[in-house]
Amino acid sequence: MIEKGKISAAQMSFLSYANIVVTSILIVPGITYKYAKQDLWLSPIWGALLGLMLVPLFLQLHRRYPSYTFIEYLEAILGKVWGRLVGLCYVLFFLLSSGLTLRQYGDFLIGAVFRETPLLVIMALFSLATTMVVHAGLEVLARMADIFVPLLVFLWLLVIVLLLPDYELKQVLPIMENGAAPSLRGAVAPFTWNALFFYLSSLLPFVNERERKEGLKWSYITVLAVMITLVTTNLSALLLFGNITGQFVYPFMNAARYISYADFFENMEALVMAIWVGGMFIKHAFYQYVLVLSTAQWLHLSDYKSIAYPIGVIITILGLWISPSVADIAHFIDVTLPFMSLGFFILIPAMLLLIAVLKRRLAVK
Amino acid sequence: MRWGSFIGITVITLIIAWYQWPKINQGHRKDKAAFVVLSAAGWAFGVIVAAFPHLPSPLTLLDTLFEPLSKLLE
Repeated sequence: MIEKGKISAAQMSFLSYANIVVTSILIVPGITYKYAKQDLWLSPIWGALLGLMLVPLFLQLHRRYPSYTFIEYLEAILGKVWGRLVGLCYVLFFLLSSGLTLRQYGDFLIGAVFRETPLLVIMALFSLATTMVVHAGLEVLARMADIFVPLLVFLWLLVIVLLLPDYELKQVLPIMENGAAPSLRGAVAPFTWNALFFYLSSLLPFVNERERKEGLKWSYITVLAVMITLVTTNLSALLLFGNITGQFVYPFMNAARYISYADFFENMEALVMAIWVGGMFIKHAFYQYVLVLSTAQWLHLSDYKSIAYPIGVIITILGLWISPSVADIAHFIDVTLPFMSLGFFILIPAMLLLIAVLKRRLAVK
Repeated sequence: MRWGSFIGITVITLIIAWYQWPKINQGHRKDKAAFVVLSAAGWAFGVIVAAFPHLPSPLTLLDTLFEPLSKLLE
């Protein structure tokens, strides 16, 4: 095993939570509203059902190969040739995810505050910082999540609470006006984000031995925490904006901008910005870590740290090249990414488990 | 070709090599090979993107690839 660090079950939970929630509180409400209208707060509940199915899937795979990460048991289950071939697809997919995350970070920052700064500068500096984290290893990444995640949750809660007097409860009515279909169609985005519980497979092998049991409990707590966060965010956007929610790309950001108390508590979108920068730092560092570790495991290297910087350079350039416009990325996330997530995060792992079970059965006979 | 980008990516690649090379596990030829190949790939990638900034993006390719499926959602 080339990762010698150990993390606690709570740290695993924090990392997965941050990974899913950071981008989703900004991007999901807008996409969900487009399809689900006033039922948008129901969609994350459907999404959580997927999370509740994925967690046992990865726990089962983990139980069969306790010290292996995904790339490693891929090879153990599928054999050398197929394992490495599928492994390459995963490495490339992780690369794409990292590039996309970096670009999203840059685009949002430029759109909201740094209007004149070149994209490359923002992305390169951010990438340098996350690469340093990856180079320092998993334990540093986990401790960073320890520090940041409670702070981010607090800031998020602050925005929600400060908006309390402006909510209009009647905006949620009528509930399920056209049945469950619109909220289910709107659930595609929450599904895509819940599929990110796949990344548990990169963390489970490194959880402390004595906390193995708790890892199980914490995984489910994370699913619930993600659901509650998303439902609350979607609901607060709806209660505040009603049927104009759909006009905003980032409703949560606009909601924060709306806060004003005694001409003193204003420009609260700075809080959202802090959540975004801090959260994206964890998310991108985590993605980059998974990519670097997977690449090293795929190549059977003796250490992953030595390739952290070269891969950081590749990600930065990919982030620059990946798309000419914000609209292209939004379109990709809306219609193409759900199918890629379905394949990479759900179908292939489910098939792996099936093959692993069948293999064992046949071996016993 | 923009010379600034070319020099920039070359300098960054060299700095990384200068910093990282002595730290690579000695006696692991594979690690060294991986480092060289990935650094070279990053450098070449950078030069290509700098020289042809309007290359079609990988997202366009994936969008086209998944179009039969994504039609179901639209």
